[in-house]
Amino acid sequence: MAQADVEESSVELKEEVETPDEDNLIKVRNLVKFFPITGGLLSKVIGYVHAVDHISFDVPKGKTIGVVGESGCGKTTLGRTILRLVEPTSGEIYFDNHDIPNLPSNQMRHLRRRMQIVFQDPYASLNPRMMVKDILSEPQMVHRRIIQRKFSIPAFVFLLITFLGFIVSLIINQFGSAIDLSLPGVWSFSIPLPSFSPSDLDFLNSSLFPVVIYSSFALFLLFLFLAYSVRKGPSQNQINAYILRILREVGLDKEHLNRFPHEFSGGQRQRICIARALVLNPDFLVLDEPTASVDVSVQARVLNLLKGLQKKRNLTYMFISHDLSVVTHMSDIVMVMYLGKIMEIGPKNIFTLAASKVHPYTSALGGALPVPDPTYSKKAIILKGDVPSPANPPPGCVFHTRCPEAQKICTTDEPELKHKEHGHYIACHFR
Amino acid sequence: MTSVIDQDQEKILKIRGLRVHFYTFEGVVKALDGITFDVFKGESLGLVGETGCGKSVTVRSIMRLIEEPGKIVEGEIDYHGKDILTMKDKEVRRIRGKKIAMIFQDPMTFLNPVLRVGDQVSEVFLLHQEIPEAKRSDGKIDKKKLKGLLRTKVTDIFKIVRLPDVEELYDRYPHELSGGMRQRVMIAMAIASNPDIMIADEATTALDVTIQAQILDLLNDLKDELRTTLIFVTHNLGIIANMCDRVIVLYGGQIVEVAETVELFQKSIHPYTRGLLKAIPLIHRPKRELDAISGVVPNLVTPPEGCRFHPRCYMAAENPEIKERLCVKERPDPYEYFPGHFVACHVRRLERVDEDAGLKPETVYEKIETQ
Ligand SMILES: Nc1ncnc2c1ncn2[C@@H]1O[C@H](COP(=O)(O)OP(=O)(O)O)[C@@H](O)[C@H]1O
Ligand SMILES: Nc1ncnc2c1ncn2[C@@H]1O[C@H](COP(=O)(O)OP(=O)(O)O)[C@@H](O)[C@H]1O
Ligand code: SF4
Ligand code: SF4
Ligand SMILES: [Mg+2]
Ligand SMILES: [Mg+2]
Repeated sequence: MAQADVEESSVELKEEVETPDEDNLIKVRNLVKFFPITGGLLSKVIGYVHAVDHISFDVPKGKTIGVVGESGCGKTTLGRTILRLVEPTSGEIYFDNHDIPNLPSNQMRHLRRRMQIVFQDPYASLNPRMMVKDILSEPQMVHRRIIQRKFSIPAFVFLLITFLGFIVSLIINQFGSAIDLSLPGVWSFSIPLPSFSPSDLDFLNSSLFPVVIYSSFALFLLFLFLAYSVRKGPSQNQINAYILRILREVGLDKEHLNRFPHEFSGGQRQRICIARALVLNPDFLVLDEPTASVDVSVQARVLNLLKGLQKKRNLTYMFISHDLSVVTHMSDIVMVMYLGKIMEIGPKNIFTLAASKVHPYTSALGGALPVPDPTYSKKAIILKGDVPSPANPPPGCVFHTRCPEAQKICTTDEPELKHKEHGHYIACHFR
Repeated sequence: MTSVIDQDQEKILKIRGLRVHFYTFEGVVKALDGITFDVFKGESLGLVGETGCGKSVTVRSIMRLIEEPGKIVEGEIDYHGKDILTMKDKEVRRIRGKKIAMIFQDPMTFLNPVLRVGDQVSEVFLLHQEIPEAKRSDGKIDKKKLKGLLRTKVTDIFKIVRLPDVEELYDRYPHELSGGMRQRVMIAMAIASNPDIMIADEATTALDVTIQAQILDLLNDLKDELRTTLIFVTHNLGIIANMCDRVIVLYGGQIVEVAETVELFQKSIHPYTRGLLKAIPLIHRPKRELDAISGVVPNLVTPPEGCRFHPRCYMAAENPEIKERLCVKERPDPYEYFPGHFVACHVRRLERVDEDAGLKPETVYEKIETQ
């Protein structure tokens, strides 16, 4: 098993645990996702890609956590595992205190409405044969089907019980002389029945009996109406009005409803993807490189839109990107990943802090970024070599093969993710 | 890094009125609308703009690499006194890859997947350089000796581009190398022929930021060591700021601004350049909100008349009279706003002329028109 291969390198966020749970929408503890590598004639498992390797962090409600790192470091896998689009190998994920990996699938379906993802490539993630209005009403339909099942089963049970009660009382009443349906003081009405029975069954004709019959009939009608109205759902007009509202929220309009994805520019397509994520009114959005395929002028508008939506709807974001300046702009907290592990969690300005205050990888990333300001000078240490394969990560500190500060201990002992100051964690022996 | 360009400096390339069309199903894509600029010897020139603005078409035209359905319909590219666009194919081949070398975004489209990388680089030597040491006394080529000589040459050049384990690397195939290493092999092939001009078209776009930093550092050092001219094509203003002496900003197949790098970033004049600079998030100077440019890039089959930026231009919107009269009708030609700083914008030009002459924009314009 994959877990067995890994020595206990549990990374605990001791301090963070003390913060009250209500403040954190997402809590991740020791999350692991390994992908098996198969090889040979029999497709035997010959190893594992350590995509996400013992990761722990929290995301406070209404905040944005930025996730940065070079390609292949596990950003996408992390985002998808949290939403359980990928099953974790091990570890705990809590969304609003719901234990995500162990949630039964019917509850998961319900919860999924509250957590959505926007993918990097708006071209690949929209069905080219669907019009915008269908793309946007599709998730709502899916969701409506869930509501329907939830409501119609109890409705059906109640219907059955009240109906049976009605029949049974009628049969019992056969023993009386008549079914008395009089409401005392309102009217008097009784259905006469041929009487074969002794008169000690007369309690059935007591004054309470019609009340029971009428109320069960009223309940019958109520549940019939309820079951019917749920099955019918919102009308097409209501859906259209709702979709239009969302579409306007992302800066598109009525005329776009009846168009196909190919009729839109890259930035507009990404807006459609964002709109689709918003349709179910989520609390949490994973934004996986949402602007990687658009130009800067478009990127600016998408980022402004996302910030505006977050404020308006009190959304919590996980903003994944390899672009340090975009992540800095969008995030409250920044998490730096390398080979499936967290190197650092800190405030959004970690890339411009003094090298001694941050993880060596963080400062190397910040130094490597070409800043569009010729007067901005920085001391850049250029990292040597390539990122090692996540199928065979280096022992000790995973960064030691490229770290300019690596010592002997780094090649053998894995550094713990230690709390430095409020909300700032670094995994390095020398920080 | 940045130095003041002497305007009398030798011009290695003179590009004049370059117009390139692509004849597609949707119609004629007017990809380049009369591009004019000079490249000075030894400088590092940046070509920047958003996707589809014509950066690649411009540099491919220099190599005469525009293929069907594209056509260079007009223009002149002067290289050492000769027009590349009217040269014989044989002559162009002698320049392409030897005198002017190109590094592309995706080395895999350029490298042969079934040949060892070392052999591919040695082919460049065979193609572009005489190797007299390999000749025997009877004038014939000693194949074995040649092979050994080539191998040394290749491994030497691998060392120059800072590739590791060069002997072993010689025998590897392209797919066995990482993206950064492949790009180094591409650079090795480019410098193997000792070119006058090196063109890097989005050479680091596909790479991670730490690998990108390695390649940029390498190119910067090579440029100094080999004293070549470097043309850097990118959409990344950060790379421009770090790599280039001078910048050309393109929009929709037109040049909008040309300036020295520091000047462009500090004193950009053209509304598009300004918009672009305001739209990017900066790591060292946090902004609450980004200033976005409204609208979308133009469709080059039916591009806007006149200044192609006019449907999105705030400056034109603020000057409706000039917009109606000029922006929507006439293509603005680059105007030397400051020495060496060219801006293609009607409003900016009139404003400048106005300042100089102390006259109202319209009257000034009329005066120039009748001159
Ligand atoms: N479905 C999968 N099967 C096998 N390996 C995968 C799968 N998805 C991702 N990986 C591997 O996991 C690692 C992390 O990938 P990913 O999360 O996509 O990284 P990032 O988004 O940071 O670029 C990579 O090495 C990748 O090849
Ligand atoms: N082979 C082609 N066929 C049709 N149109 C093309 C072709 N190559 C380029 N173009 C068009 O020319 C314009 C400029 O393209 P290009 O120079 O590649 O832009 P970039 O600035 O992104 O490098 C674009 O609008 C593009 O659509
Ligand atoms: S633990 Fe060692 S190798 Fe890892 S980042 Fe710190 S100094 Fe570098
Ligand atoms: S010429 Fe007119 S439209 Fe073009 S940039 Fe200048 S003001 Fe704007
Ligand atoms: Mg990814
Ligand atoms: Mg290009």
